[in-house]
This record gives sequence, C-alpha cells and structure tokens, in this order.
Amino acid sequence: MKRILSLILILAFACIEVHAQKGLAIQSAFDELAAGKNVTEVVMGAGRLKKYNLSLFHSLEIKMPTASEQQRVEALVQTDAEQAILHKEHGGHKLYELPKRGGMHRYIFFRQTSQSLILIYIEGKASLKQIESQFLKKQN
Amino acid sequence: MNYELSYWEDLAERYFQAETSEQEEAELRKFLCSDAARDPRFDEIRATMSFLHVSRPKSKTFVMRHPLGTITVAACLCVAAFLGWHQYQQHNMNCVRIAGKEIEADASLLMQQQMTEMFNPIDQSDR
Repeated sequence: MKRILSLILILAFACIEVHAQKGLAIQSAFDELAAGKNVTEVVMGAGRLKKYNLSLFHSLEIKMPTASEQQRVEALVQTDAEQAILHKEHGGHKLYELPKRGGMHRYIFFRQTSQSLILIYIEGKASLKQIESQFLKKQN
Repeated sequence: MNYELSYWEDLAERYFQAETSEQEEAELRKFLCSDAARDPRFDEIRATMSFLHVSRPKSKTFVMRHPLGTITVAACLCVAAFLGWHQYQQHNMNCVRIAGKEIEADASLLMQQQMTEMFNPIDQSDR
C-alpha cells in the first residue's frame, strides 16, 4: 500500500510540471489574456522539447496589443523580474533568468513592439548560452 | 500432559535428533510455555524452538483482511493510472491556441519562430 501511495505522490508531483509557471506573476497574463483576440498561445511539453534540453515552453503572442495589454504584461513581467538572478535587455528584448526550481533553469523572455508582444516562459536543463546558440543558429 | 520432567527431557532430546512427530512437537511447545518448564534443563530447547518459530518465513499468500482493502487498492490503482495518463499527456503536450481555441498547427514551428525573433535584433524581427 505504501508503494502505491508513493507512486501516486510521485506522479502527482510530476503533473505539476506543465503548470510550472504557477506561482509567478506572469501566470495571470496567460490566464487573463490567452483567450483574447489576436492572441496565440503555444504550449509544449518535455516530450517535444528533448532536442532543446527543455521541459516546458509556454508562450503568448499578442498581435497589435492594446495599451492596457502592454501595461498589464509589462507590470507582471516586472513583478517576476524582481526575483531574477540574471537580467539582460537589449533593443526591446528582455530576458530574465529566475532561480532554479527542482534543478531546472527557468527563463522569462519578453519582447514588445508596436506590432506585437511576446511573452515566453521556458523551463529546462539547458543553460541560457545553450538556448541562445540553438536559436541564433536558426537565423543564420 | 501431566508427564514427569524426564519424559519432556527425553522428548527434547528426540526433538534434537529429529525423531519427534508433529504432534509431539506441538505438545512440547505447549509444555515449554507452562510453569513446569522453567527448569534450566529446558532452556536450550526453549531457545531453539522460539528461534525457529520466530524466524519461520511468513506465508507469502496475500490475505485480504477486509473487503474495504480491495476497494482501496483498486481506487489507488485507478488514481495512479489516471495520473500516469495525465503525466503522459502533459509530457507530450503540443498545443496551439488562437483566441483561446485550440487549432491544428505546428507548435514547434511557432516556437522556433518566436524564439528566433526573441534572440534577434528588434529592427530585423519587428514586423
């Protein structure tokens, strides 16, 4: 019986994985804005992200965001940015590395222009350098 | 059961020689629990029989003591199966939603596109 209960507990903890950004302020952005017009939400689990060494990708892209949407997302990102251990910013791109949780790196990417707003939450074993190199390669 | 101590002594000796029947061993066990067996002459046989009794492997047959146990185990297995399925689904999650509605689209393509935009200078990626 103890074994069965242990198994259930392990599985229950594992189920938390995809809701990993829960506990962060940006969760509200995903909850509140995902159903909005011109909003594209992408969620990918670890099974699809093996080659990137990531376990979760969750993004929100708002085309032609309204001023209130921009302010709301920016404020939420700023709230989480307070606990960031690394902060990079250049040309409207903001990148925050949050403290590790469960041995996983956690990142928030945020990019805002007049045309679009992209908020990305990533979790996985890949370091920032590894992620950067993977996606910079694709541009070349 | 009202035998002389010499009878029990003899029985103990035969026990060590593996010459006793199961019935005799049962009697001997019973005797060893009685007051009459407090004599130090029976210490050895008492220790041996106690040790063999304690170290005897327990039956491996699974005995369900209460029918509620079956239900509990079944419920636990159902929960475990559900959680396992849920975990598998989440592990392989690949979902794109537009305006909250799930659509058929290649999530990995969108991911690559968004990440590439994220890591490129704004003047090149701004649409």
